[in-house]
Amino acid sequence: MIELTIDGKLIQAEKGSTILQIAKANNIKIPHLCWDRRLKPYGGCRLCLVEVEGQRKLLAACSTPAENGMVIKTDTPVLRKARKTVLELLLVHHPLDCPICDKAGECDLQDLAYQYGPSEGRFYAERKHDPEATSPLIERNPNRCILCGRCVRVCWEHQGVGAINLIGRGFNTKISPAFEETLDCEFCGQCVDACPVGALGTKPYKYRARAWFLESTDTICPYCSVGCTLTLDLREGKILRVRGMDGVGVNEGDLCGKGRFGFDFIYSEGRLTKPLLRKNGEFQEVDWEEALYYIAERLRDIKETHGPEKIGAIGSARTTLEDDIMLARFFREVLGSDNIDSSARLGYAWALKGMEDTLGIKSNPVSLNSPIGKEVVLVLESDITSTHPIFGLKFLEAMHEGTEVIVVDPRKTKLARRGNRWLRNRPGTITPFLYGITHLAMKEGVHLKKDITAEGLDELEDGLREYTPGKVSELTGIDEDLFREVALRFINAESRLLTLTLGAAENQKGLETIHAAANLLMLLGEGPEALQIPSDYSNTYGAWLAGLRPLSGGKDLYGMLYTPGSLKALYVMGEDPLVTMPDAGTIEENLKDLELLIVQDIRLSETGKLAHVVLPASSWAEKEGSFINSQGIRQMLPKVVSTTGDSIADWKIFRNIARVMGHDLGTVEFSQLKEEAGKIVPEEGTRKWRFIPPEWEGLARTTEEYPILMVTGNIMQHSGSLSVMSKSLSHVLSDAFVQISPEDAGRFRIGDGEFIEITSPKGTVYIKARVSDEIPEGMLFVPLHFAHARVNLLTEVSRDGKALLTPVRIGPRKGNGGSPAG
Amino acid sequence: MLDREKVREIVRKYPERRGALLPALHLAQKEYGWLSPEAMKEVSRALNLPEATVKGVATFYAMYRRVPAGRHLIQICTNVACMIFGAERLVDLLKERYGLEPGGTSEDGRFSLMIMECIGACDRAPAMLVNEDYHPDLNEERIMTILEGYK
Ligand code: SF4
Ligand code: SF4
Ligand code: SF4
Ligand code: FES
Repeated sequence: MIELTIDGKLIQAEKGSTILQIAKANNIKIPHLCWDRRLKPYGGCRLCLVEVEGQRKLLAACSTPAENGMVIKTDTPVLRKARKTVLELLLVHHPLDCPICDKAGECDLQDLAYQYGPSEGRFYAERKHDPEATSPLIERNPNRCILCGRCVRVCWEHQGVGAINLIGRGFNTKISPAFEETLDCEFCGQCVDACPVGALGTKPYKYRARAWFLESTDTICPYCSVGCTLTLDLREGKILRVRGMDGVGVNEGDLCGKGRFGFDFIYSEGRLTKPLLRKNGEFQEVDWEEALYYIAERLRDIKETHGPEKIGAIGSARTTLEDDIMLARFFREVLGSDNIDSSARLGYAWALKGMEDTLGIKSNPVSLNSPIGKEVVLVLESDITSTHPIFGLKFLEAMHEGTEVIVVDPRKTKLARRGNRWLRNRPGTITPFLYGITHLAMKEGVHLKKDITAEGLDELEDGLREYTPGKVSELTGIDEDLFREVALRFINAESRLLTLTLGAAENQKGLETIHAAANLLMLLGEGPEALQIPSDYSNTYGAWLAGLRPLSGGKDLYGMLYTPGSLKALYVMGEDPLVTMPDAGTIEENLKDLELLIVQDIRLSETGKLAHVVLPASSWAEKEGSFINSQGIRQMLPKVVSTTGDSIADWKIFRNIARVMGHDLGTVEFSQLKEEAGKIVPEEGTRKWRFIPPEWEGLARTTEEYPILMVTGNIMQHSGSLSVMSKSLSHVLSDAFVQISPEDAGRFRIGDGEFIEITSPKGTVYIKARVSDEIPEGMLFVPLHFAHARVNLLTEVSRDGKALLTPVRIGPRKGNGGSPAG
Repeated sequence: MLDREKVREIVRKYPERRGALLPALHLAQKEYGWLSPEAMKEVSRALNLPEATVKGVATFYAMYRRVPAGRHLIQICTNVACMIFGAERLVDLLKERYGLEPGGTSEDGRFSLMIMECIGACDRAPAMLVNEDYHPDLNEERIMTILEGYK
């Protein structure tokens, strides 16, 4: 601790902090433009100058470390004059176009100029760069730029992208991508939030409102399970933009592109406004009464004729906890059916099972800051910066602070590029990779020093015998020495972390991967905190906890969607199995056999198109509720905008059907549900550890006929099938594509941007190829978001949670067309 | 093409890849003659740094050429000492003889000319560098004789 005086106030502070940090913590205001909490000090703008007794020069508070005994003044005539001069120089060539600048009213430069009084205008100059208008979502207006470099540093230091820079020097410096080309980046918009002036703006917000007319409300992001706080800015009841607020929410103000730009899905033309009832094969708009009476009657009929075990429900990973509770209550209390499940079954449920099998725990929420301060972190075949962007940033942050981030992935992901080390393994071989490390750890006798009482150690040792470094190298394609080096690094580290995702959309990891990871950690004496597996979407974890899964022997998702004849009626809430779930062909056949398919959603989904009745639900912003994020934190969503058309909150729809069926489920008001939701707590487990012997069979997936492995997953700009409704996100990317390596493209004569034919034992689809060195030879990567691509016709489902990479063969699209994308 | 082995050699000397950027740009300049967009992209790939980072640095320092250069680069100092000893007259001479403008390249692609701020030869002013060769004590006659040696 040190002691210093700022403006006559005696202050104690941590050693190593800068003057500005200490001033901020003590509510002393020093102006600044180039400083950003998340970045290294830059000292570029000279606005934060302060006087320090005994120093002849004025010092920049943002980059001067505080020292014991310093006497600092932050507001004196000398400082005012210096700051005013700085502002005067900034304004020399700043266009005074505030009347048409979207930043006006919340611009730091404007505010400071106002605070320090009019400048004399001794100099005059003008810059004549054209605003850059071709990039999607983000517009640059270089004339307004004050060259503070915050955008550049946020993009590179914090986001790890480096898409823009200050190009040139002196008067001609201009903020731009390297070659003035159209911006090709993550479109996170972090640079826009960082810009203190109006030089960077978001296009969807351009000329939409003056800042002082906006009303702000905070809510939670509907996309991934990080659960970022979004600050919504509304005018006349319409959301115009989303920003992150420094220090607010689990994200502390950071946002990814989905959170920032994806909100406009609620204004999509595809929103359902009225219930649709199929009459003579065609959908007709009907009123709620007709739809509800139809549903009540049909459900009652089917229950009487076939029994409640023939009725099932698939819930959503994005509806609120309150919606989920009502779906579960409606099914259990009114229909008497326990056939309830959600997409969590395909991914996160296996992660939970894997951790229960080994670590004896029934829940293991992640901690966003877990990577920070660890000696070594292993990221296993998981593109965390795309699927969970703000969690992903923590790995970069940890790296800056000295953590060694090692990425094992066939794909050249952002973390692979930016991490300390990247080992490129063959797709789907992360499990044997883990076996190999565990094998080495045993050989080193690590466990003998640790007094491990877990069961199954001998079987584990037996099973792992064959996974020598040589064998692992052969299976994974990673150089043997490199493997050995990394394995020992991990084994011998003081502190460590393993992270991976096990999403419903992913097919290269499975239950066996979780077992392998847990085995290794237990052997090293690490507890569950060392295994970080985030849930998928905004409320995946909440849906699980709210009981959207069979609790008393009911059918699970496999039993309902993939087992012919298992149901007569299915209720689907906020999910589109035909797009997001594997082996869509089988699902489609089973759905077509149903006597009653009810789909409740905010738009007419692909699954909805097969339904007998479709109910319009309100979106995330149009109702109150809560989500449970991957950290296990329940966060409230306020109702922000009025409902679309006749849509109703999901939970109310269940209340209303129950009423029509003569059950009132209690009175059920939101406040009661909210209270009920508040009581949900994750289950504990026995915490008894057990090793699971190796069980990986991922070897012989490829054959001569199907020589290539297709991996599926989520990408940066999209999330499940929801984000494709967003106009802004679709502006960046709206077309389905498959990534293919330059080697395979050459071998199969496929050009970048050409349609190719992909055939698996299940079927054939046509899709546009993107040749990319992010992908190794022998592998394809396909995002699943785009309904028109129907990629899930090719995939398979594994009922025991195994990773099932899809073996395929590819070739140029044959024949002469028809509609693209099949 | 950039010699990747040489790049790796440079990288090994610095604790961070970013530190290797200036020498790597010099290397690229030498091999390509100037920092063409292609050359900068190549440096970006070789160092695993974003193109924007490379371009930002390349455009900040005056010592990097971002227009194609002639076969030989003349760098003349016109700072105080050289100026007093007639460097500016030499610059005019180059224009008369070869049509060379400061910052420009002669039409036949033989010479490029850059004006430098001191090359540390004040005691033997005026002085110039041709490529990497140092030529002090210039006068009108001497400079022409020297340059005629560069074809
Ligand atoms: S949007 Fe994000 S990735 Fe793109 S330039 Fe801005 S900060 Fe960089
Ligand atoms: S665009 Fe904005 S954030 Fe970037 S350097 Fe200019 S003023 Fe700073
Ligand atoms: S998608 Fe995830 S990381 Fe991005 S803003 Fe939303 S919650 Fe945050
Ligand atoms: S904030 Fe300190 S110099 Fe800019």
